[in-house]
Amino acid sequence: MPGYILEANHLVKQYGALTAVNDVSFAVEEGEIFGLLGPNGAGKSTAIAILSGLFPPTSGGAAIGGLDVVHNLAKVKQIIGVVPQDLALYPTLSGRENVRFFGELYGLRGKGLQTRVDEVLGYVGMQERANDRVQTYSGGMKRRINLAAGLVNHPRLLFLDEPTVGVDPQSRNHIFESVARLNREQGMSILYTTHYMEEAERLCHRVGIIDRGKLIALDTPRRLIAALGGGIIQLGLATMDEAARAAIEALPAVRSATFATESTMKSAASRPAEVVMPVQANSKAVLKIEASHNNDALLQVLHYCNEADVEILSLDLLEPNLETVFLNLTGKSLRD
Amino acid sequence: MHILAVWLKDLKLLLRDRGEMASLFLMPLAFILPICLAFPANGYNLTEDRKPGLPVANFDVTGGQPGEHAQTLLDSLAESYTLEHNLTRADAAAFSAEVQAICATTGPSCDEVTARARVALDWRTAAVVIPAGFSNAIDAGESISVTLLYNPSRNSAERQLVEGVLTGGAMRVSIEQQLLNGLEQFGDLLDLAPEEIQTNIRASNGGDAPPAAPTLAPAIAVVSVQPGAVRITTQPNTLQQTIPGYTVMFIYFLIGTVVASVQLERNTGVLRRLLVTPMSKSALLAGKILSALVIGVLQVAAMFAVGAIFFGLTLGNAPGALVVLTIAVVLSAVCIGLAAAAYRIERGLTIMLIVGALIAGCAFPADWLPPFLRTINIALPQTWAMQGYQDLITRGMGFGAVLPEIGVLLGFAAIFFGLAVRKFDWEG
Ligand SMILES: Nc1ncnc2c1ncn2[C@@H]1O[C@H](COP(=O)(O)OP(=O)(O)OP(=O)(O)O)[C@@H](O)[C@H]1O
Ligand SMILES: [Mg+2]
Repeated sequence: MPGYILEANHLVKQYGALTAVNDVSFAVEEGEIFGLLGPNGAGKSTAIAILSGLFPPTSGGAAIGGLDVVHNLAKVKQIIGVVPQDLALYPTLSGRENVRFFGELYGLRGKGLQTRVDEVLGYVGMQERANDRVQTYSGGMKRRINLAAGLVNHPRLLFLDEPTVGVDPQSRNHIFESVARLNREQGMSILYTTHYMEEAERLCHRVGIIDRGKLIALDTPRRLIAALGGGIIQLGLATMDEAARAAIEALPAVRSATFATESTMKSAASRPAEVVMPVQANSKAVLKIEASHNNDALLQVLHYCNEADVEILSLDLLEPNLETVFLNLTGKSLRD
Repeated sequence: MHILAVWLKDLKLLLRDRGEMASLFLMPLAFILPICLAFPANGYNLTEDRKPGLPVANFDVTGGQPGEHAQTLLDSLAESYTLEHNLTRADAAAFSAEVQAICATTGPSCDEVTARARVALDWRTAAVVIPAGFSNAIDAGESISVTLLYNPSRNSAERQLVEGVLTGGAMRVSIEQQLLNGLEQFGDLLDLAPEEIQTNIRASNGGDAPPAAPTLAPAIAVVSVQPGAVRITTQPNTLQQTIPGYTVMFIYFLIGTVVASVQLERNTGVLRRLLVTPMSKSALLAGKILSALVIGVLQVAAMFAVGAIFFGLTLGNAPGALVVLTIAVVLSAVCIGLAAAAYRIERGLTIMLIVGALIAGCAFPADWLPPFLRTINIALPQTWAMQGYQDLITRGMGFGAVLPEIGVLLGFAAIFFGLAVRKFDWEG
């Protein structure tokens, strides 16, 4: 039986009438990257706040490294690192000064502090700009320093709350890399929240899907997806043709069809392994088709387009993924 | 150790915040420099080209008229001063009921109580009291004192001036009399002279022999008396008003600085982040207080240094008391700032601080204010800060004199610190 670095038992957090976290239980194994997935307002940050001891749960409890989070908070604080969703940094201090300051709060001093600060700055690839003020950084660079500040105390368990929000692809990849390496090389356990499904799929050993405060699924990404069967077809069209959309949605192997937003197009493009035909820049509209069975859906869609004389500019076939899992579980998209 | 880390960090943040630094260091200078350059040092004493007032109470009255010698003395004083006597009830309106009751009838008693009150309130540098029987005593060759009432906190040069004029007047009177007495002694000698000469001289001298016993003694002594049991105030000159005044006004802008510093940590999410580190809440508050304290003390030091170096402001006789008072002042400002941050009072601070400073007498002496404002302003820490600095800088008093102010300011600090801790919303 593997050891658990984190155990959450029936956590509840109430804000007045609103239940932000509703009876959530899960456990993170030592050395695991555990993803907490959910749309905005699902209760991810609230769960992290409770688990990191910012405030106690309304009911329920949690233990980290076998220590009760409420009653043994001082010891718990020493073994956790928290990378908040906000860029919780002092804008007029340099990246290095920020990281140093947090290091000091964990009791690091002198040479040890110096070494550790250099180490984490190296880890996130920020040595070169480390002496510039944070306010002069790009969003991605701020995120990296935000991460570095959470690593400075060598935590056994790292809380990463949406570390890639508002980040350019380069920094995003860097953050991914850093997180994967921390886990691989140092065996650091990580609780990773995001509402980007592809991030969770790529990084996490196991994923809990949370919606409106409730944990609605928990397993490895592979098994969650396998349980679903279908996938997504992205169709580049010349116009946002509503009639075509409705007709495609009515096809038997199609669960839904919606015109995608800019950001979903980008995220699809960052999955090169699954791209059959790249989405072309001149596509005017991308129709996102949820298939209950990929092959059938593909055939039916192509057939319809051919019959109805709908011009296809591009075609992507996406594997079934967590996005589709979420859609399936809640009937809504993650990024509504 | 956490306190140290937080302290250094906050200090760094403050020093890098140009806006805050400008409002703390440049704004007071923006007032101090032009005012101190534009006004003469004693610009607040608007009596330059007039004869200064001198309260006088003359008890040497016979038949409603001043005694002969008292009149001589009054005349010589009037050469240098506008004499204030024969006052009426209306003149005493500003003073206590007791004084007003005495002034129901015009006369030396009214003049005296009014004079004492004016000196005590420091409206006048000094006052002169001529005792009853002054002229008779001089005629009798007895020694007699004229009383000079003065306020010891007042610029002693001004007092010496009055003293000089008074002594001069007194000497004039006594010399006249000594000459007369000399003549009397001469008269005694005359007794030894031949009868014929005696008759001639007595005839030229008005005929009748004076009854006085001959003596060489009766110079008039001037006894200086400090009125007791009154708050000693001295009107500050331009420098003493303006430099501490605007310094105090802008020390309390630290309130805004502290609010902004807490706001930054709240808005960036740093506050929440700090709370999941092993650092305690008290370390966070202490670090913040200490860093703002350093800034505030530097602020005061900078303003007083400018005053001393460029304008020759003297900082009194008790540097230790000045330091302790400054720490108390800054602490009160910082703790009010923490409370304001806790209660999320973030807007409208500037206008409140400016109005508060005006009522507290930062821009002009609080004594110029109508009485009700002079009463309610004791609720403002700026009032106590100003009073403390005035005691030390303008009145040259010592540590003991500012202990009440220091106590009140630390009281402000403690109360607002308590409010801040009670109300502080750590998670928000
Ligand atoms: N201090 C608070 N007071 C009242 N309600 C709150 C507070 N903090 C969070 N909530 C509510 O709790 C719910 C969960 O919020 P939370 O921040 O945990 O969501 P999240 O999953 O982190 O969302 P996001 O992806 O947008 O970060 C939301 O409905 C939010 O409005
Ligand atoms: Mg969140």
